Amino acid sequence: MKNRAVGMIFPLLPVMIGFYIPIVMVAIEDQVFSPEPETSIVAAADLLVVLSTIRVVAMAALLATLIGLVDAILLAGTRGPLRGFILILLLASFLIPPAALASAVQACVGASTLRATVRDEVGAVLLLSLRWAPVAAAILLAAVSMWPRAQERALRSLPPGVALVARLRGLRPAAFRCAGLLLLLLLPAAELPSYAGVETVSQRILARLTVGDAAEGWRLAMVMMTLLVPAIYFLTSSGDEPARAGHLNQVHGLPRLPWANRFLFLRVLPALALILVLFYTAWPRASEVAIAGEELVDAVSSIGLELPRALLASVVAILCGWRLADGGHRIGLLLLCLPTMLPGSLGAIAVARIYRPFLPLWLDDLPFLLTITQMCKLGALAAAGGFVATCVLPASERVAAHLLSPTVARWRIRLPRALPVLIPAVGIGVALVLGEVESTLLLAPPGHPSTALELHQLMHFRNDEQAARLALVLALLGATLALLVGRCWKRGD
Amino acid sequence: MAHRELALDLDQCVVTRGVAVIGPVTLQLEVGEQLALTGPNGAGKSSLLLAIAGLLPVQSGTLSIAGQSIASGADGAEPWQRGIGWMGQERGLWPHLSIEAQCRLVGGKKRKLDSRIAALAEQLAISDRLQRFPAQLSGGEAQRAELLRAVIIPGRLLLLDEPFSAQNQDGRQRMQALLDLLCTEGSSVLMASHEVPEDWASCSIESN
Repeated sequence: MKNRAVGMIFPLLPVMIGFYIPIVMVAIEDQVFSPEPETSIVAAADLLVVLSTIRVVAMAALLATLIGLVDAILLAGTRGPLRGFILILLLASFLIPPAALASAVQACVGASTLRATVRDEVGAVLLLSLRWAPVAAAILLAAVSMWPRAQERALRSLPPGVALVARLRGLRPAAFRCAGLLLLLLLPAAELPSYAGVETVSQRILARLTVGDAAEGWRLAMVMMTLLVPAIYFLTSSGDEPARAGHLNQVHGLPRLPWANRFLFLRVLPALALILVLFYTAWPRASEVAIAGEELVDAVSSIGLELPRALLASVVAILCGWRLADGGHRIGLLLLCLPTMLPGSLGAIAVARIYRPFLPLWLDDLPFLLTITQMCKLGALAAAGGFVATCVLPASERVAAHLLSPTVARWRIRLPRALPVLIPAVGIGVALVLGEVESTLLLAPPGHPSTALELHQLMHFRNDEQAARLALVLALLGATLALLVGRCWKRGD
Repeated sequence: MAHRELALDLDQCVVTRGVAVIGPVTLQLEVGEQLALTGPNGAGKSSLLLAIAGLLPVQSGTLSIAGQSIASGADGAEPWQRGIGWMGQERGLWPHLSIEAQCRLVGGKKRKLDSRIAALAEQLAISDRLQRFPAQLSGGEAQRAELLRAVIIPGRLLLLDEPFSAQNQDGRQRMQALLDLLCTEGSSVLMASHEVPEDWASCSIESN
């Protein structure tokens, strides 16, 4: 028992230092736990924002899951040309940072501002669905990869239509869970809805914490946390144990369905169109070539400077998630996930208030606090990556590894076998850190290079061409990382 | 009566797997002995082997391996501490390591490991397959390679679940000859199987 508890403590250290300890200290400092008797826990105006946020994210989660379900069934259950390319384009629409995505949509719809064209909850739902549908597809593809080989072989022996329906039925429980998970992941969304002019609970909390009544902001966050904890626990603990068997790593036996190919080509058209329009908008006029070149070099160099930091944050987070999942620490995974599902500003503000006064000047000039906060924000990805990496290891291999000493079994057998899942997770983590704006805005030291933050600020000045150039660089980075992830998932099309 | 050294001693052991209850089972296996565990499908042969290896909990009764009593529950010895060679019903070779690398990993820093790997591989007719990865082996070769990995440390209690299922006559004879040899070295074999090899003792588990 003691060993088990110790095994859970080390992977949780970053999230304890970077989230829970500062949050509790700040909450105590702001007297969150002693509300005045005549005030209610949450103000009525805040409650309206909570309800509208839930409405928007619930619709977006449902739509994204539906799209992701169709994508996953067709990608897992059929074969055809350019599947690797399709997968990369699908992933790219998630790995492109929100600011770049919004910039591309803005350029695509042709209006001077995004707010003027997609200015309501429908716009927010569409933007969120566009970005998160590939995540739903990835989750459901991971679920398919856990089906036993024998079951997959049996499916391939069925007529194509019957097999697709059987796959749909097989994925139905996972799809319900996926919708629930997306709902939780989308709740802290602030950036994309803000481009559509919709206020969410995250923005309200940030406003309360920075310019309004801080205690009220904390109380709102506590309410959100109280709702989230049982929901995450339910999602991670209910349901059957996964089959723990690898998906057949080749396409032989899968049907070739022309309509599926046509659907998948249509499906990636929006992502392709957004990148092309971004490219077109970013293309400089003759007089702007020199400036555009400088901007491009600046953007690429700032991403180059950010890359090692993003890689470090992502690797540490993913390894922590894998260690917790490998040890079967469900409470630990819950604690790891929670910061992702709360507003990004919450941890950032707490970290800044608690640690900044004690930091030596030289450390304050480095993005130390920013890295820890962004690492904590990758908790859900780390937990999901670790969980999938553990589940895809076939039971027979796991049993054989149990007969070696724990250290040898962990580092020589289970970690190398988990790498095909963990490496793509690290790639996705890097893209998320590079595109992150909320914590960067609050914690980045002066002069810190961040292309996503620069783009976010440009979006508010409506500088379309320059914004498009930065967005294009970020989009290409997202596509490159999607290529890496896609290579790891290649199954031989 | 001469003192008998026991490799495995089960006394009234009850094992649960999901809703199924197996036992109580009482069984003794002497050092150097080969015992086949038979019984109908679903009787719990594999579950019993898993429980002996520490991969399923023993609900009640006592279990001793090489004279050491193994406590049940969280305080029991971990699987890797029980001194067991394991070969499961499904292939459990690790696909990212060559056969030789897997044997070295299990064998640790034992003396004369190289010569032992070579000798055992020769006996199993997989000498020229040692540098290969599991995906590059046929079903029968992979099964023999897994046996090689399981027996690389001498003098252990070997738990084998349907070890001959993918073998032709020649492969089966080679494996049996190797197991006979290992038993003279001090190993003991408990095997779950539908067929009992000649000269082997057997005991049967009936389904509840």
